[in-house]
Amino acid sequence: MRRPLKSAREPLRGLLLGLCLVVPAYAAGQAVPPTPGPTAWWITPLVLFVVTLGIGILAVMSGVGGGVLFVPIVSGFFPIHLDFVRGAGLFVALCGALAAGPGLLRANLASLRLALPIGLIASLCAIAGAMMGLALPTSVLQICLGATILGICLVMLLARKSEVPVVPRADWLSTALGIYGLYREPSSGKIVNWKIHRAPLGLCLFVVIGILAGMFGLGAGWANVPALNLVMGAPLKISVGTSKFLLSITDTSAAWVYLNNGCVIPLIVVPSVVGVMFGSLVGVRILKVAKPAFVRWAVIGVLAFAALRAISKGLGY
Amino acid sequence: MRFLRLQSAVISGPDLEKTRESPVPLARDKPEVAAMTEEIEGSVQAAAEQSRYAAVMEKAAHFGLLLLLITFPVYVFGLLEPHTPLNQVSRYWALDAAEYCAQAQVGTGWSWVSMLGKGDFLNYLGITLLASVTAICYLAILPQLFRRKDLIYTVLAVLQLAILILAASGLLTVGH
Repeated sequence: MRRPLKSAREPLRGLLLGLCLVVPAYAAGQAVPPTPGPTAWWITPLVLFVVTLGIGILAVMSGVGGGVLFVPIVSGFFPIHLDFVRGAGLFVALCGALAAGPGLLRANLASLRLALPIGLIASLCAIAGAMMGLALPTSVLQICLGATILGICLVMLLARKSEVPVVPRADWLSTALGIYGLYREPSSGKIVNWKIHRAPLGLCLFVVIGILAGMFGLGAGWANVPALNLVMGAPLKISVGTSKFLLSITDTSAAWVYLNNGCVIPLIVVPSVVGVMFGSLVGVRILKVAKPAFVRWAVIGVLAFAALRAISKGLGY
Repeated sequence: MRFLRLQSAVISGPDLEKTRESPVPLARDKPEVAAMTEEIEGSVQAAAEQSRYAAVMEKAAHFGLLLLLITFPVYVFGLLEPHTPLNQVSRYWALDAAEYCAQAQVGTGWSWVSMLGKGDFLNYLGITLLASVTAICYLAILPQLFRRKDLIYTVLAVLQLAILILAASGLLTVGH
């Protein structure tokens, strides 16, 4: 069993090294304002496709959403304005959610009854966040994005997870909304009965999560899962599944705002979406063979580096 | 009520199998216990509206992605002339969105509909369909929620649709 693990490490290390070397090298090459040539137009979309392919693989391997990796890396190292990166980032997160959503809903690992009230609040706040993000000066946004990404790194480092949290009693709101359910734990075959508590507090958290998702074009899975699992007491499987599905509701609203404000350039969006989706497919195959712990640490490192880059860009360095 | 009865149930799948095979008569062999077990098994399945949502989501998302995969080659291989020549796009993506719209003469909101004959704007068909999938899914489950007299969730779905329509309307335009 150890052999495939070891053999899978090498290409993954190569992928990480490639991302760490190629992206900054490409960024350095683009430091000079691009001069349009008759054949040069395809270079950036091609590099974007390759990088997003790597992002898709790493996203699956580390359990982080593609949007969270996409926005800081592409805005930090590509000569593309943050407006277009955020627009593309929302579509990357949206397409990932649309691809995973049907399977999760059918397997009852995403709960529509849990997602509907949360989605309503989060999507309304995502619209507000998107409008705030488009109104703020880019330098301020870069600094805020960097700070948010550093916060995400902290959440990834510190947040604990609880497989099936103890929920002594469902609260009045979740009882009124009928938020409860059963699911079959695939590994053990057990049927787990779940309910939630602290729904009002959880819904308040989604105000902030929605604003951040809309403002920075980030998929909000990094915040959804702890809010659903640790605060509201949903089992981890339900939290992860519902969070992924929830992105399809939250990010749609913000994506429309960006789309209607001219922040969607097909030459950026399509290679990114296709790259991340293909990368996810490859990542799932690798995940079946191995899940090296170093990938998560490496992703946290890449995110922290991209966050510092965003802050330095915001400060004008 | 059903929920209250099931509230304490954490039943092991393999255990269920074992007891089914047991020659000793068990409590679960009684009709009411067997019915309850069947009910629990049924509750593990997704609710009707959830299954419908999944089916519609899957079809619409696949169609949207297919549209993207068809229209993008049409654009990049020059089968349809783009509004912004391909070799000039990189001049604009370093600008902010408002400047890009002004310099590239690209309208905001739904103005792209009138430019669907251009290779770059043709891609908006797939992009807007992907952005519309959630609204389509809500429209698909609304009659089921209404028929089941699930008043709270019917209202939530209608409000969500209103929010999505507002976001998609193009009324929410902002500039730096």
